[in-house]
Amino acid sequence: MMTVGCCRLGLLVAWILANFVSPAIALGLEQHADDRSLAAYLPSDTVLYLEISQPEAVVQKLVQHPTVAQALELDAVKPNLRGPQYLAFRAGLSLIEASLGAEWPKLVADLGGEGIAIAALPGENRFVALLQARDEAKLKKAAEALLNLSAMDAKNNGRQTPWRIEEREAGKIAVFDEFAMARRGKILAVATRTEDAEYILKSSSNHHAAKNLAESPDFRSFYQELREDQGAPDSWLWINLASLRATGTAPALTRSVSDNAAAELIFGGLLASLGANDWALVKLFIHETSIRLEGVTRFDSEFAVGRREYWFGANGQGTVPTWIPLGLQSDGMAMQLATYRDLGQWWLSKESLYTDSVVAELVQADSQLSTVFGGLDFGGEVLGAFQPGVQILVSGQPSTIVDESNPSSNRGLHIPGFAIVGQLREPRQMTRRFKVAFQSVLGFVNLGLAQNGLPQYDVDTRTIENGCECISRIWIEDDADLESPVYSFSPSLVIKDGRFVLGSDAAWVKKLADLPKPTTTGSDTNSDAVADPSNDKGGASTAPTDSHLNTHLNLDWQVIVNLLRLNRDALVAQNMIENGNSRETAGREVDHLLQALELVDGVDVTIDTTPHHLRTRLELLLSRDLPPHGSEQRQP
Amino acid sequence: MNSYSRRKFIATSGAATALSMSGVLPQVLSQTAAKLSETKDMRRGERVLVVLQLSGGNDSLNTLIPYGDDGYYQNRFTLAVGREQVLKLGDYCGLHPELRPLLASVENRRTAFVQGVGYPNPNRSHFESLDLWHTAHQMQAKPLRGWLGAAADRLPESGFTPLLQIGNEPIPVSLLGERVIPATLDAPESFQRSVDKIATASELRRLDASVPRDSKLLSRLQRTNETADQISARLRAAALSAPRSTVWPTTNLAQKFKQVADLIAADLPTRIYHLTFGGFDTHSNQEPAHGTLLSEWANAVAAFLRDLDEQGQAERVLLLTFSEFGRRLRENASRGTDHGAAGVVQLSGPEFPMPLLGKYPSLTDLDEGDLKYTMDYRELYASVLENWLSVDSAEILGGRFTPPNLWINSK
Amino acid sequence: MNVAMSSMRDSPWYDRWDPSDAWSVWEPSAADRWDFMKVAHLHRRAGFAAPWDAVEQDANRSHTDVIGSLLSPARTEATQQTFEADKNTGQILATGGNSRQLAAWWLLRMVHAPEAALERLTLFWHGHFATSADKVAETNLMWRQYLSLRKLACGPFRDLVQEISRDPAMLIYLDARDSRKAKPNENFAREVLELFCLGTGNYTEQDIRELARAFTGGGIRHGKFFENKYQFDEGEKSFLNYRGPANREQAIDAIVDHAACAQFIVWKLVRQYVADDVPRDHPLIRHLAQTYRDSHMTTSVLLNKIWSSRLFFTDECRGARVQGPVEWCVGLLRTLRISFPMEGLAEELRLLGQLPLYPPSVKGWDGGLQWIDVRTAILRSNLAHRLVREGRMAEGSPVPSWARKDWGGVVRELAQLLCAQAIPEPILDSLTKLAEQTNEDDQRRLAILLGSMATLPEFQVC
Repeated sequence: MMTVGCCRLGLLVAWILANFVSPAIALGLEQHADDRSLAAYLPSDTVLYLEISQPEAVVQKLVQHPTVAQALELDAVKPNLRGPQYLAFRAGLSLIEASLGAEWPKLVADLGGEGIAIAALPGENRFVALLQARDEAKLKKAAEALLNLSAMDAKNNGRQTPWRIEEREAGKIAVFDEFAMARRGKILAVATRTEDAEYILKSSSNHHAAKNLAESPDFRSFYQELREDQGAPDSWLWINLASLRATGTAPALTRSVSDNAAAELIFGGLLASLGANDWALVKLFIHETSIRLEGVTRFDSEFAVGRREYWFGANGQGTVPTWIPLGLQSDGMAMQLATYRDLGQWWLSKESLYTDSVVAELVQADSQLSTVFGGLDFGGEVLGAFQPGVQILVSGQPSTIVDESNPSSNRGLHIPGFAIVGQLREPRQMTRRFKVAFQSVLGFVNLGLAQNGLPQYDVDTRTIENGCECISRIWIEDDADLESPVYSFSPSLVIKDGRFVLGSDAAWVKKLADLPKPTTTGSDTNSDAVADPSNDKGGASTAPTDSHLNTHLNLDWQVIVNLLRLNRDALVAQNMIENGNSRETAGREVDHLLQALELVDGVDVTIDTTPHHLRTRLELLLSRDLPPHGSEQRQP
Repeated sequence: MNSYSRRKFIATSGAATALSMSGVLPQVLSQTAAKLSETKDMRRGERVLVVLQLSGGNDSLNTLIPYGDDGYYQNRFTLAVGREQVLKLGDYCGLHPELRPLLASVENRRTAFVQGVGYPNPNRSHFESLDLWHTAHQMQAKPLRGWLGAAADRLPESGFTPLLQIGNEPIPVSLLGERVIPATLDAPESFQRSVDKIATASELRRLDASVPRDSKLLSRLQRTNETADQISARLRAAALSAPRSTVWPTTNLAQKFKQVADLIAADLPTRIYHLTFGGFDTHSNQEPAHGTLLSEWANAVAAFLRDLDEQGQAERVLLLTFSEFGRRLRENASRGTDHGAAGVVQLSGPEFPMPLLGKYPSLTDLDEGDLKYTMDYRELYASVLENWLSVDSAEILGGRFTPPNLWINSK
Repeated sequence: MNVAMSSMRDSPWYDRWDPSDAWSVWEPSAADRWDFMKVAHLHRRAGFAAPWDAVEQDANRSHTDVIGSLLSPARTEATQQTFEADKNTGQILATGGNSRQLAAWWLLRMVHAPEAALERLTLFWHGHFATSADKVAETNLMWRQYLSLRKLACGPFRDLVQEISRDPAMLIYLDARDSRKAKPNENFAREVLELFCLGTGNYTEQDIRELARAFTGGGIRHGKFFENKYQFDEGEKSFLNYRGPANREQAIDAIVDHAACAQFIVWKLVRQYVADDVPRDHPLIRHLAQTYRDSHMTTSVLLNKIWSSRLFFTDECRGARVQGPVEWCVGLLRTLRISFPMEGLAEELRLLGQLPLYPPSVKGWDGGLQWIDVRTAILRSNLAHRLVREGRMAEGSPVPSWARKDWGGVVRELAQLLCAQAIPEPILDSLTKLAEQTNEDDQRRLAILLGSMATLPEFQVC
């Protein structure tokens, strides 16, 4: 029994991992006991409920998933699979497999065959894991084997049996230090509190008499939909927002006004919707080439009237701008964000959105910025000069402003290019205003730089046909200064035909300003003009035509990884300092990280509204190319 | 090291071991206690100074309220505390109602308020005014040192950090000395060796202390380690000897005071403690924020004084609470108050002849809208330095300031 | 102090040495061999405590080679390349503008650098020409000062002072960046005489005022030194033995040529490399000062003489210094081959009183017994424990007995590497027992062992 001794912890972990924490699941409702969710055994105030309806299918999917195979081949992972900790884990797992007479995927299928669920109940440290087996006898045997193994292991280590059996009204419960385990029929429950395990015993015996989670009307209607839907998720998480708010653990959902100006701009609409609803649902889909999370909550377009109209647009029909086409991959675009935000309206609503202190800060900022804009009211007149919508672009191809003849300029940090794009309502009035404001700001910056003895900006502004061009470049007096790395930062503004492009790199800003206008009518709320990003991905859900794409964020992961690679020296430096590593070790760790990041190809996030739902979608696109050494099949 | 300082060192480190723990220790620790009390107690009785800084500029007018003056009500149109709510100390001024926890101590003459403390040509910048308070107007001194650091430089050597800041703020300028290095303690664990939790390691410590070393340097270091053992044991003992009945509020400030009380209970040779409590820069919507701050302050101080009483150490601890400035008499348009000048200093510990010391500044004879000081804070410092810490104040304060007799039996 | 000492029955150790004998070249003999203990001592003193195999290797080389290569200007190409790579990293961090990170970088360099003695010497000069990033907010200037100190560390002292007198970080630190003819800033002049070159008692207040005039007109533009000739006082100056219209450079030359200069610098170097307590005007110092002058105050020549001397290898010299926090930590990490988060280490060093780039004042670190008080004694033990427990140990055995799990051997081998003086036998036995009885994995066992060893006086000296 030496092995048991070594692997006491590994054993428990393995058993729990194999049964409860497998990260994904598929639905097989036609096989489900009585077409009822395991949620029927949980109280109605359950805060979070995660269900993996068909564990067997999910395990199969994971075992065969190419990305899992790739991940196991990573230089950072592979050596660990020969390390002592993994071996101990394997040994523990083998022991369980041996005593239950099946390999773990089979065990998962047998023991959790009819569903696995994890739930969080209100209150501190109240978690419940539930599983429903196909075969009662096997489950009974497994539970007994676990108790025996842990007792035996403790005995071998000179410890007392780590559990005791408590006879409760509803049945027997095995109580461990940290959790309790109970079984009735095909249901096995593990709970961090003994009372909760007992609750499951009760609710499974008197056939769901108690008020339970599955009975709430919202849950029922969603569950009905899910069963009828063909593209059912591998796993799903039901969030009982009403209960969550009651616990007080998510203050962001109960706050009526925000204390963070930026957070409100980014998440305000989402948080407000969650704050106003009783439930939200997150679905997980695992495909060979992508992993997708979809969050859904109720959306009432009336909600988008009033203070959050700046976020959703009138009647919730605000749609992303497409001044710069969304699919512009050619420019080495690392990130593209397009979102409907009416900044002018946002400013006007600030008193109803923010706490007094934030409003005070904004008002103060307003007066300072007004100075820059020659007395124009910043909120109303400057922000208000823009049509609704913002595009933010990050280029993965930083151009350096130091001349190419100097090789040392390649050292140091490479920061990506940034640009923000908007569309002016009244170009003729505002173009010169912005031009002068740009000159003022750069002049101010130059004073600061000069005070600190730093090189200053040479600002070049001119009026062009239908717009203006304001370009700045760092002016370097003395070649010796090139010894220090200079950031590729030459703030520039170009306005052309009302298109406003402010960015960190002159050439790129000009290029963006010169891109032809989109052929469609463009930047208003006509949803037809918007490419639906979900069309070609995953194939699971196609946005209905009455949906309005509110926000779209796209990351080209390969460009980002390349950018990180360019900055390898800086990453190595950071790693050396953070971990005290030698250069070699730090270099190796950074390379491992970069390699791991390459498993991902891109990230796509969208927020859209339909007349009844607010949907958030996050899709992780996985690399299709297997690394050269990862071709052979591997069973984990 | 010369012979004089070596003797002196041994004497002082001996003294450090000497604290009697009688009556405080549970039976388990009697062995340690017996060892600790082998030599005559020399440390007990040395006075301790605790300085609390209310950062941001406490509104002294709403702390010690001149309720008997119409000028107060005319200038504090929304912020004034009603006459009936003021905890009256005489017929001119009294305490903010949130300071009620301090009342018992005021009535026992163990807490007093010094009125109108400030300095000429008031500086209304937080930073600069704090620097003045911290250095006693000695900003030009090189190296830069604070009044407490300079005082610690002049205290007898104890083989232990004489200055401790409790909390995790940067060390304030006031604690900088030329010789002493101020230390910050945010958890008593930092005075405990990780390895001391292991039984065999304490065996090693005993052995190490008993094996003589040839080298003078080594035996000096050996003594330092021994003192460390003793102080760390004392802290552990103090932690174990929990049964002091004071119920401490859970606020951050009260927990800082609790640490000071624990260290005093452990007879740490530290003479000066510094604490910071921020948030007093109440430019807008002063109430209820200011009241909350006063309440946290008063409750923490009251618990501290109760605990010291229970320890029987109250008479050797002086608490001084100051703020970099008071606030303007007239409230501003945002229901707040702006930076002012003279303020109030709170003292606790020794017996005071009366609860109000000094003279309340006039509400009509103002300096650019602010109260004029009636006592230079350096006079107050002189009193603390000369009469409490027994340190000559002239060098520290850059001149001779007459120390007022603030408490009874000052010398 | 000296008077008190000589009145004692047994005179201090340094009075028992004849200077020319003390500094004469040590030669190994059958009775006094070039062995492991001597190499370990040399590493701890000249650089930082070194790992077992490095010490073993050097014990098998000739002692003249080992000593000669410590600061040898003919460093290998590999060493140069490593420094170029590290320099690039340092440059990136310096540009990042966080001086704490730069301090962490330097500490890391001390831990990993092959040329430990040079980094140690640079740290000495940094303490001598103390400049704090607390005041010099520009990390880049601290970085350039480090590079200057490192570049000129071994060479003539004159070059170092000339450079530092034009160093932007130093001028900012001493408020000497715009000293004008009409109002010369005396601060820098005072520190040049008092702290950098001569020491107290060798100049007058009048010398300071005159010298300050020679330093007028200096300023900083775009992070570099520049001279504003309109603000330079061209008049006659009279300080020390000098009369004339000295400019900055000539003034420095005159000061460095002063008789007290070599003696002052030698005294400081002896405190750093030999013993904490030799008085400034002791014959041992005066003798060495002559050597220093004879070599145009070339520091590497002086250090090689010290490291090759009879005195250096005597038992009296061994363990005669209290280890500063930096050498103490760096030695521990080097010896045990441990990686530890460097910013965390920097914070610990701040608490221990020696964070590089942040000296407490222009006086630098006083050192000696000041390093250790009750608080830092406890902190040192906790830090030793933490470095091993939370650090990442390199693969392989730190000392030979480790692989055999012979804890008695491990204790003794670690003591050989890390302690300058022998730990008494009963204590070694107690440490062994402690290690054997600890019921933890090997790394934690080692952590407890080191944490316990760090409570011993022998562990604090070198």
